[in-house]
Amino acid sequence: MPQTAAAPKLLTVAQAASLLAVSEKTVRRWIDDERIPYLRLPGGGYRIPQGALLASLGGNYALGDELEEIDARMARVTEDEVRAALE
Amino acid sequence: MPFVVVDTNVSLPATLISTGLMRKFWVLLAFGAAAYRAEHLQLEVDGLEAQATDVGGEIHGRQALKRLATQADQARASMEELLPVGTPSDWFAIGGVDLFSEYERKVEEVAAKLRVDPPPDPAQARRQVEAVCVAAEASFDPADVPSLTADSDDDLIVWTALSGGADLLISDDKHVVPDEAAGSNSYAAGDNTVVAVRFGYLIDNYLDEVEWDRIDGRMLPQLYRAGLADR
Repeated sequence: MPQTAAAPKLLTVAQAASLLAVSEKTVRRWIDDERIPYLRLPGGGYRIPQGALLASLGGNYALGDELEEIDARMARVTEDEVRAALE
Repeated sequence: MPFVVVDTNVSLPATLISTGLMRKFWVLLAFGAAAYRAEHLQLEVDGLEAQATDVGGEIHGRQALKRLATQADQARASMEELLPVGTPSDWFAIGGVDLFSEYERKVEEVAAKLRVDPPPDPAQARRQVEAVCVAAEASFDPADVPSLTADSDDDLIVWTALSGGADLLISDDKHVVPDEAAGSNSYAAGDNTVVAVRFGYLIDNYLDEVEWDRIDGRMLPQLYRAGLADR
């Protein structure tokens, strides 16, 4: 098992932003809005549990709508064509 | 309960094409992610509290954590209703910053090569990969990645799987699983080992009891929304 929930991998704001390819400003906004759980350190820094951060994507983005848009744009392409394009 | 890393030659067709077998497998990973989160997210509170005791500090967002766990449980229950009885809910994906970035780059490449207009948004597509991952590795310094395959470009995916503690690496890359007839290949580094398997080998040998013809990959957007029903 890569990590345990009892000892979650904790990320800094910069690491969280890097993981999801979003700006640190975006992560700080999620923190300010308490859209993600976090630990506020005595020195003022933040630590964000990685598992919850990944899970929060479903609430912070409309994943269903986004996937539907991808599916619509790719509707004329087959799985084999994508695989061939990758070779 | 396999933890798996999925190479881009599988994750791209899985996320971009709604009607293929790879998308059906992606539904399985989404089901696994929901089940994992329903069970483990609440426990992250305990983990955070232990960390707070060790280093000091104050936990915020308990409500957010509770909401995420509830959403995951709703998504898991909805998927359980829609998927054939016996569909496994214990296949968990592990990702990585480098893997996500490579995926995003390849989405652009493939869309350009296939002249898809308008092309899919690479950031949106990347989120589809991130969203099914229950854990992820940080970016690696290339100097730290050992030589593991015949092509140094492919070492990163194997290293991601080894570092992440994955049980399986699913890849149709000829350098990762060179013997197509055998369909699998093992890698080891330190105490970690991972079995790399071709997608077809995975379906035939690990997931042969899944009723694939009763899983519709086009249902995935609907399944994502199910978890947000009471948002």
